[in-house]
Amino acid sequence: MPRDERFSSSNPFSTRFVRPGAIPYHFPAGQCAADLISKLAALGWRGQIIGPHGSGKSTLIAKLVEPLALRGRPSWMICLRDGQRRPPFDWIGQAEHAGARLILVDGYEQLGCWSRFWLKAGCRQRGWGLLVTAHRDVGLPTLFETTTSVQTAEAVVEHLLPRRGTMISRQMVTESFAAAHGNLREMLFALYDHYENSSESG
Amino acid sequence: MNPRIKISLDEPARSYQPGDVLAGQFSLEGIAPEELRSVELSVLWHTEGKGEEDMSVHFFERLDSQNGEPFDGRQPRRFSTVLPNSPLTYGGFIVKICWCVRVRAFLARGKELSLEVPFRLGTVPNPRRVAT
Repeated sequence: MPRDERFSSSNPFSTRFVRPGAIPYHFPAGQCAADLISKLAALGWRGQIIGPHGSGKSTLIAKLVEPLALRGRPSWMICLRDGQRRPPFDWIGQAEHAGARLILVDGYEQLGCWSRFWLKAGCRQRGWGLLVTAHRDVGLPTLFETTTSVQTAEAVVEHLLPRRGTMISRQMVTESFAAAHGNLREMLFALYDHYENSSESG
Repeated sequence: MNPRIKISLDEPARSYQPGDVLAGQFSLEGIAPEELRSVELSVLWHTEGKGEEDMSVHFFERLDSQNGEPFDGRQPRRFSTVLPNSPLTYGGFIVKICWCVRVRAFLARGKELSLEVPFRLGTVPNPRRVAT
C-alpha cells in the first residue's frame, strides 16, 4: 500500500509490510512463477513446497495465487497455524463457492493423518489440485525447495527499505541473518527492533 | 500521465484532537472516467508491529457510476468526518496505532490503485521519550 510518508512513523519491518503476499518472492536466477506453474501442471496439479522455517514458503505460495488464476486454476488457500490439526469447517463449501480448482495449504504438516487423508480424498473426488507447504517431505511430488542466502536477505531488505541510509546497514543485515540461522522471518523481526532503536536514537 | 491518487487534508499539520472535523479532498489524475469502476474513501485506524494487525474503519464512502454516468475522479471531491475520542495515535515500540485516510480506486480489468495519508489523532506522548 503506497503511503505518503511525511507524517508516518511506520516501521518497514512491521507485519503488514512483511506478511506473506506483501513482499515478492525472490527466485533463484533463471526461475520464475510461470516455470513453477508449468511444472505443477506437469505433476498433475499436485505438489509440495518444502523448506526450513522462515525460508519463504508462505510468501511463495501466496505469490502463486494470481498467476495460477491467470492460468485458469483459481485456488483456495487454507492457512494453518501452530497446532491446527484440521482444515477449517466447511472448507469444501468455501472452496466451491470461490470456484476453486486447486487447494493451497500453508503449513500442511500441522494436519493430523486423518485430516490429510480426507483433504487429499476431497480434492481427488472433485478433480481439484493440491499444493502444500511443509518443512519436510509429506509424500507429494516436490515442486520447489525454498532456501535462503545473504543475497536474498539483502534483496528483501532493499525492497522494504529502498532508501536505507544508515538506519539498517548492510553489515546489520548480514549479522541479523547469521544470528537468525538463515530464518528470514526471524531476521525481519530483529530488524524491526533495530529500526525502532535507530529511529529513536536518530 | 501515470495514474495517481492525490489526497490533501485541510489541516497542513495533519494533527487533530478527538471531536475535531477532519476535512480534505481527493482526486484521481490520469484516469479517464470510462476506466474507473469505483472509488472507496476510508478514514481508519490500524495497528502496526510484529504481531497481527488490527483495524477499524471510522468513515467510509463508496463512489461509482450513477444512472449510467461514469464517475469522473479527476474532479476534486470533498470529504469530512468528525473524529472519535479513541483510539489515539500511539507510537510504541511493540505496537503502534496509526490513523490514515485511504483512497482505493478500482479500475477496468481488475486493476487497483491506492494511497494512504497518515494523520495524528490526540497528543499521546512518545512512550519511550516519557520513559527516559
